[in-house]
Amino acid sequence: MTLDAQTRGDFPILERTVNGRPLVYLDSAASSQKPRTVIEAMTRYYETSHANVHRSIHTLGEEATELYELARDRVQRFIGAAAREEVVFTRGTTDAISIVAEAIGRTLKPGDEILVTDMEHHSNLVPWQVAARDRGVRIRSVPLIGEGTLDLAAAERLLNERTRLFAFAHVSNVLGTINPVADLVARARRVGALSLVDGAQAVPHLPLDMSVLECDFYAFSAHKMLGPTGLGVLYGRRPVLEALEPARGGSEMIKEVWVDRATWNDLPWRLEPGTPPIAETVGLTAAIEYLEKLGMERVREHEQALATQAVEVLSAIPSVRVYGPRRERAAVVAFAVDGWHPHDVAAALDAEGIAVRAGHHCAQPLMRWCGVVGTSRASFSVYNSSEEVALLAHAVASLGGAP
Amino acid sequence: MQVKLDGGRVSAARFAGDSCAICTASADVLSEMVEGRSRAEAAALGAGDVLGVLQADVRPTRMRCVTLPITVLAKALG
Repeated sequence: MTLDAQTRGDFPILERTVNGRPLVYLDSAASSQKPRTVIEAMTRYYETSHANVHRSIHTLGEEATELYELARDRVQRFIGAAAREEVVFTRGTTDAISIVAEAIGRTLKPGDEILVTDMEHHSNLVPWQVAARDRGVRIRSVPLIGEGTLDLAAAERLLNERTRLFAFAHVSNVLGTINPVADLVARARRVGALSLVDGAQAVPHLPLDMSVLECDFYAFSAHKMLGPTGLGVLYGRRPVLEALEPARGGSEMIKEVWVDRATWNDLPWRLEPGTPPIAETVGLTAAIEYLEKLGMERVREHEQALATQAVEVLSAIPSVRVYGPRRERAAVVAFAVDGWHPHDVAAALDAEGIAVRAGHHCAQPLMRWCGVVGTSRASFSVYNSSEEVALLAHAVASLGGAP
Repeated sequence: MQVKLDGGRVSAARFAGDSCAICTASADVLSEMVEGRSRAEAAALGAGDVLGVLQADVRPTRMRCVTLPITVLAKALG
């Protein structure tokens, strides 16, 4: 049985129609849909166990804390982290990156450099710009070559003893390029730079093992991996996290507080001030269990088959241009249609019940490299089928001349 | 957007851009609407005026496509 046939019935939203047609949801890279088990786990939590975590010495408080910390263990296992203390809950990928940028930012000196790449999502650019602002810090960027892969020779040249941190995406949210994480991390480490990987587009689609990637930080969001919005994860190698002076204060991240000073809590709570998104972690546990049951190798195979099919059938349409590598790509396919603005493509497809993303995909520097103001983008998850890719291609081929 | 003023009145308006159909239509309609109006009248035109001419069902997510040329024109007219 194909993966979509196995999973389709688990996603209630996929039963609905849009503009009189069955929904074809091809926007999972922006946010995936949720299986019933995730929705029910969160509802059950609110109906039976909700209280604040870590502070309440009563049954509900203990149950909530247990569920919250169980989610941490599930994440640790899912990403192959060495210790549960390396898993910090955040509000999302942007928030996870910002936590590091704020903390590192305080230590930056004039002349220091942060290295990014031309394919980054704004979430992995702007926090570094904010951190570098007014500190005399230079932001440099690794250019792209060919079909949209990193220029590794340039990366080698750009990394130097002034580089404090190298921030790059595991998977491009536009090109679908899968970057050689372990190799880039090793290059950064050779010059003494820290590495941060934006894993938002990788965690939902690829088997992961932090002990193989060996990056210092890895950030991702729950809502792109079948889980709820408002929750993300910052993985950090323990010695690096230990050395990270918290840039944000509040409850739960402290041991003792006086009016003018405080001592910090242990990891990971030191980096989790305030009441966290508790129900969302319960939902993430259910999402991880769902993905683990399917098996991430199978998820990868299914989605890469869909991406390969999409590249082939869209490229075969004379008026269509497909961006990114032909092979070895992840489950996102950006494309342009001659004479059509991406917004008009998305609106026309929506009329057929097909949901795709259109615009700059929060990657304006990358759009400049592509030489366009934006693209349309189809992205896939476990519930998408080969038939849906064919429907997309048929609808795109039927667009005809300019709107 | 380019605007030509003659004695405080808009004598011509043109636009160039890479945009979606709604935004292009809005810019087109707006360029026609401002001709002959005083600077103040032209700057006072809003989304409602353009939509009245467009007669299209524009959803809230696409309203920025309608308002972009209006914002640009207002800037041009200072």
